[in-house]
Amino acid sequence: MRLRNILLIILTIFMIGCTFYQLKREINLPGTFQKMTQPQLDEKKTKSPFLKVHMKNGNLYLFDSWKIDEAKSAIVGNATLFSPTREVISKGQATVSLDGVALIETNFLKPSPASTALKIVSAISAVILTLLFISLPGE
Amino acid sequence: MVIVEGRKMNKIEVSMKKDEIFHLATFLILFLVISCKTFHAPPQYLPTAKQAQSDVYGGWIEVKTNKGNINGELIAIQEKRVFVADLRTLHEIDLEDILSARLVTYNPESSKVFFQTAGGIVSTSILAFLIAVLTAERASSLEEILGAIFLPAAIIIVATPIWVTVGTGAAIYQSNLPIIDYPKKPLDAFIPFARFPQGIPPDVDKNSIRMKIPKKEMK
Repeated sequence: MRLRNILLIILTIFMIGCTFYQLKREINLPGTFQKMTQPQLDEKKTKSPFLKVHMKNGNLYLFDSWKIDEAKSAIVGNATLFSPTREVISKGQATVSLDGVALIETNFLKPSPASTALKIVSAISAVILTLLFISLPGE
Repeated sequence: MVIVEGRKMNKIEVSMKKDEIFHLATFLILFLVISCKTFHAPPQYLPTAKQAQSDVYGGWIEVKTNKGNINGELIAIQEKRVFVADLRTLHEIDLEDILSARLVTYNPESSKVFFQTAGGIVSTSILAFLIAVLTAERASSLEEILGAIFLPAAIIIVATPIWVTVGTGAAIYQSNLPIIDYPKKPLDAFIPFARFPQGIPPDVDKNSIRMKIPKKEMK
């Protein structure tokens, strides 16, 4: 039944909906980063794709890929460097010594409970309507 | 006659349900307007939660002091002062002068919650209506037609208030998520969302600092 298939596709789209996020920001001293184990750093990298490194002179490195070097004395990766007035100074590969770092910022996204609540209502509606579709006699 | 009377009763019941739904919707909309915290950030100033991950500016702050109101970008909180930049200058506000303050850390996109709720109501209603049509197509008597309509109609009558209630609650929750209020929360909670969470470095010329200029399209 063509119409039934179309309606089931609509139902699927309707169930997916969109996700709203909430932001969790963490500010760490460079020493805290140095003390982290590799799995802890890997977890941070997975959750926070960007790393903001606030320098003591007011500059800011925005890393879109990063790692801590083996000696745990520098952050290495691809970054954009901003001045205190937030003009772009440079872009590209950067190695930032932790000595000059004031704070390290990470930002995590979590699905908002508002999003979860709407998804539950969507899912219940979709399940009930799907069951009704299934119970319809075929052609 | 019984069927006719039954139909009349159904109409009255449906009409009462419609009134109840209308009153509930009006109440919930008023509740939504009252419960959602307001702020006056310029359009396009606030990044979304996703964009805030790579935004290099401070959050939007509205400070009420005993000398007047100051709105702008939160630059830093240090030495018992709050630094707020607008398009003209950098304001230094003594903590003791602050009556209240509101920080908005990102755009909550509450309108998306509203549209998803509206979409949920519309799609549930359309699909329930189509089920009724498909079932009624095969009905051979008036009783069967009424039977085919009953369940989808009940789904619409029950689902709409649930959608409205959950959607309103979700919109209120979402709109309040990125807001931090002082004195409800200490000003220390504002610091991670300042342009300089470490404080303004001594070498930086304070006169050069201006708030972020809102862009029409932010990546």
